[in-house]
Amino acid sequence: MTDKIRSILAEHGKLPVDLDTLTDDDDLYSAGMTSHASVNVMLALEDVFDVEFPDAMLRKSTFASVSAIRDALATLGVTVLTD
Amino acid sequence: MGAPAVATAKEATATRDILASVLDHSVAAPHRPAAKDGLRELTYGELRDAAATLAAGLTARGVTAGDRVALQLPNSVDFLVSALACLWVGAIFVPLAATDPPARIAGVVDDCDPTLVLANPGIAQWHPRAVDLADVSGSTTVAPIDPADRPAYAIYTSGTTGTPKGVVIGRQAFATAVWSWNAMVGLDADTRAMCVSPFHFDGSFATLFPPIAAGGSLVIPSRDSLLFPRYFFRTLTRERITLTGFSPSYLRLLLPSKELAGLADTELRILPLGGEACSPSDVALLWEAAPQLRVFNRYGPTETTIAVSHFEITPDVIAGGGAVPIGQPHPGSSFHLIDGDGGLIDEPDHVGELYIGGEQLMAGYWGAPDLTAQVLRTDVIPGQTLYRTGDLVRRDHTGNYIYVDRADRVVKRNAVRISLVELGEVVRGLPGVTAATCVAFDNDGDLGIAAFVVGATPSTPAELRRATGERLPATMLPDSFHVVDALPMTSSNKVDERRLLADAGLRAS
Repeated sequence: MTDKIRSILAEHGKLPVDLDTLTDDDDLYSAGMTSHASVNVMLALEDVFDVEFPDAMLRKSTFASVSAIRDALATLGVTVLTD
Repeated sequence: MGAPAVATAKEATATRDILASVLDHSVAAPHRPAAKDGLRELTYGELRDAAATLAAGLTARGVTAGDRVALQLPNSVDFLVSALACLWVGAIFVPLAATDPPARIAGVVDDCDPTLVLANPGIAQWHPRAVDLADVSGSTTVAPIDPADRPAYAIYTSGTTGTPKGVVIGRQAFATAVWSWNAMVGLDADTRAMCVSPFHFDGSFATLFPPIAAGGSLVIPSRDSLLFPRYFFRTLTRERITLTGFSPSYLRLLLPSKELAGLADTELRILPLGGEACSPSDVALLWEAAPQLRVFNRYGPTETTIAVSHFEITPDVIAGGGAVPIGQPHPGSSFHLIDGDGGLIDEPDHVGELYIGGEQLMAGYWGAPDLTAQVLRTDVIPGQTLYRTGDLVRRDHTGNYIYVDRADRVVKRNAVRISLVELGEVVRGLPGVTAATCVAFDNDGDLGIAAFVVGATPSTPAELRRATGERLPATMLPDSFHVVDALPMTSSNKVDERRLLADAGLRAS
């Protein structure tokens, strides 16, 4: 799942730094992800994982790091098969 | 010299003090909903009680009239209660930007020297006078102070150049600005308003205080969540919001959202836009989705209190494709255009710097009489104090004023005067371009102009240059074009020009 998240971030996160230099816990906003980009990351995650983030999860912090996104998806029942 | 645009005293609306208005509603309709956020919901009676308890707590901690109380609080019911409690005891409330870097917040706090900094538990309480709002209460009720001629709040404006200045606004100016807008759109107890813009930016007060003064209800969502357009639209629908307002940049964030199509079915009717130039094409897109909306362009520097003019946008203006007017001054305020030689401009369509007189002027910059004297001028029209806006404005043949640019955003390059705003509009009008802005930069000692472009379809800088060259003389072309994914915004929802320049490796001019 982490690989999928990272590939979505690579496509939609528009980070000014190489994603490979960031750990799963590094703050993506601090690394330069704009608010606008995080909206697109959210929409892409919904597409790829076929989920819908409920209103309560639509917060900046939900998308603040790879691990935060992974935790959020797990809450929505996305199961980790292989990783 | 003809008559300037001055409203007569008779036209001035009733301007009851904001706190007094809230207290009126708490007596007349104590059970009516006043304000809610994600944590709690208060009726007018509960809002009064919460403000009274906090006012007693402020007094118990030594806050007296004229003291500053900094509010390090996010958009929340807590913020509203705190602001009302400060008005109650006559303290000047100073909103801090929750998201600002600590150094900037420290600079603001050093400058205004607050007796207390009210904060939430979640926020690092780094200041010796910072207290958890929940710990501030008192049992000895205090009577609301007489509001006459007192300062209400101070808002720190970033200014384009360096040091923040604390704009101190008086109770009367505050009430005048609020009631002028209420009278224009007829807000009342049925108004349900949603607060979007951050409360440290006084443009946000346009959806915070007018509805509450009119006895309406406020919904104050978390700013973190409003970033997601879907959250905005769902809250708007669920809460049956009739009024909301924000910056044109936020509108641009909402427009591509697929939820926009449902806007026609909501109860939203009134939408003031402000804080930066309003794009006609964005309003056209908005009206395609929701033709029932009354959309306003509001104008007003922080120094003239929230907004000093409003223009209700008409389809004709949008169809014309030109700039959206800022309207005419509120009752009790006056506009004067001054040319480069200090003379009054009376003819339509002549651009001059806008000076504003009347009831909405600030009291001054906190602790900075020299800075205040530079902008509150008594030497332009004898017997009148006028605020020098730094904005270039013209008046059209119908008497409406039209914002042209910041005086300092009209740059001179190779002896040619160029408005960065107008240039940005041209680039934005190119096929396939969804957003654009032009920024001055230091081009090896000369003044350069960089265009930052967001495209729906990929274009190269060379293609953009060619397309712009088909529309403008070579003397006006930007020196460089930069394709970006989005225009980053500052914490007050304005385009973050510094970041754009930094990301492109350019130095500010």
